[in-house]
Amino acid sequence: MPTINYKQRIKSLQSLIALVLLCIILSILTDKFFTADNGLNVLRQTAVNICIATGMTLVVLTAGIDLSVGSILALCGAVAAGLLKNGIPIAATDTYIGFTVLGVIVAAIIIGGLLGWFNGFVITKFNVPPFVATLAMLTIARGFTMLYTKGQPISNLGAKFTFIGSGSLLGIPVPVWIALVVVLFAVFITRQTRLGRYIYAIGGNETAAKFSGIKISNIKMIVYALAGAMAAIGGIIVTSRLDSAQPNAGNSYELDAIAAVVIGGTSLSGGRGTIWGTVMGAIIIGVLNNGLVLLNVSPFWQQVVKGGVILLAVVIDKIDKKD
Amino acid sequence: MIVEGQSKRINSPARAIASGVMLVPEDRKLQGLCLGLGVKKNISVTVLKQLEENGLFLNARKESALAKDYINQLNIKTASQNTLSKNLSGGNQQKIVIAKWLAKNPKVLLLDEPTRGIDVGAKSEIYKLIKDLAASGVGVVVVSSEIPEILALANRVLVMCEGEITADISIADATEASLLTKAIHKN
Repeated sequence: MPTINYKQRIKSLQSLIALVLLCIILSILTDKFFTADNGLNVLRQTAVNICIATGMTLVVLTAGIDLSVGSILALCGAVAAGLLKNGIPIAATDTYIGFTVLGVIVAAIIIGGLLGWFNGFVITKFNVPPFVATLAMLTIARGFTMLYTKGQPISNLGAKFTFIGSGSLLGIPVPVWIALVVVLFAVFITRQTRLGRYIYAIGGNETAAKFSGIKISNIKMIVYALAGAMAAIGGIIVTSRLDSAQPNAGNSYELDAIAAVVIGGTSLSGGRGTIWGTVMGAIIIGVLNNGLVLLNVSPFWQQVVKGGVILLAVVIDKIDKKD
Repeated sequence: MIVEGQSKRINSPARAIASGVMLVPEDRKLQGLCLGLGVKKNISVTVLKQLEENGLFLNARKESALAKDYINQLNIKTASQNTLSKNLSGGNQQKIVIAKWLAKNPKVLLLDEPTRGIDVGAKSEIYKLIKDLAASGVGVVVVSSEIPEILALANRVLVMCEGEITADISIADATEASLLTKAIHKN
């Protein structure tokens, strides 16, 4: 039935089509929109959401959800900044273990991965709904961030570290390069590996996946760990860009990530969706924010518009599913 | 449970499969298939490890060849390897479930109501498949509530009533009446 393949192809492109339409409309409405500078600016601002939303996509594909990514982002950013500035003090000898920039990056990603893995552990071993388990982690990680930073920003992190958020390579902002690597990694996982197949199988039909011999718990723990690690990467970018780890960084970032996933056509009931769709979703949100600012639309209206777009994406998905 | 003379402790589907014991479940839509995935991906899901290159990525060509093999061998009627399995008829869906276990070389294959809700043509194809499997040395256990099906397939029949085995009959002695009596009355 070639008509079905044709339809599937259109569907996989629909967020791209929406993005192109949006860009055309904004280019007509304001001449400040379609410039190289503004394009790079949008991508730089979107890079963090792309990182988080990519991890979120993996989770949502298994029919889960991760509300803790914003807090994990903050904690990992704070720990990276703290380790870079102060290292780990050793009271007994009155010295400290110092960290290089690469060292703090690795440490932050490992911590993010472990927090995410713990989400997966609670969800699978104690059969806690992902919504609840990650809601708890949202609060826990935020609390640890406050404890670690004592509620104060950790600033002045040095030129080497701030290059990650503010620098450019070959004319492209470094955060965009990082987001690209994260995305390509996730695309590889979902399309070319056994893990990717298992993720889709679990989201498509968890019972059938279990009966097929897939170790559901292990796969889910890996997926939540990846989501945590990608949130940590987002945390490094945010901290570096501001040259400061803010205790309240990443607040409600999980919502933008979920929005990107949904707008990108991934089904919240799992098993259906792509990483590229999410990238389109994240860029659509970024372009929308940027365009509304350029058009001098009140920030209050921006929220209304963003919510409307999310609603529209879900409704389109539901109508599609009926066919 | 004893498989090929070895005692195995089986407490999860993954363990059972590792011991060579595999199940074609009663409800193929809820337990057997990912309806939203294509035919190929449903067949290969049990053997992805064998399709891996360098233990890292999947070899797409090998996977296609595997799917093609079973689509031909079991005569699965599908427009393409990537057609979503929800768009196939019940009989062809059931063949996908059987195919994914054949790919894994079962020692014991359990089939729970294997022809429920399947058209006559596909039914006889599945019967032939089950007989061929048994002839090739695979231990086949069929659970069925259709007596003609049992008489057509079995060598040995265990009749159950209210959770207990009420009779153990060789096929030579089995008749529709004797099976039905044992299935309805205990003792």
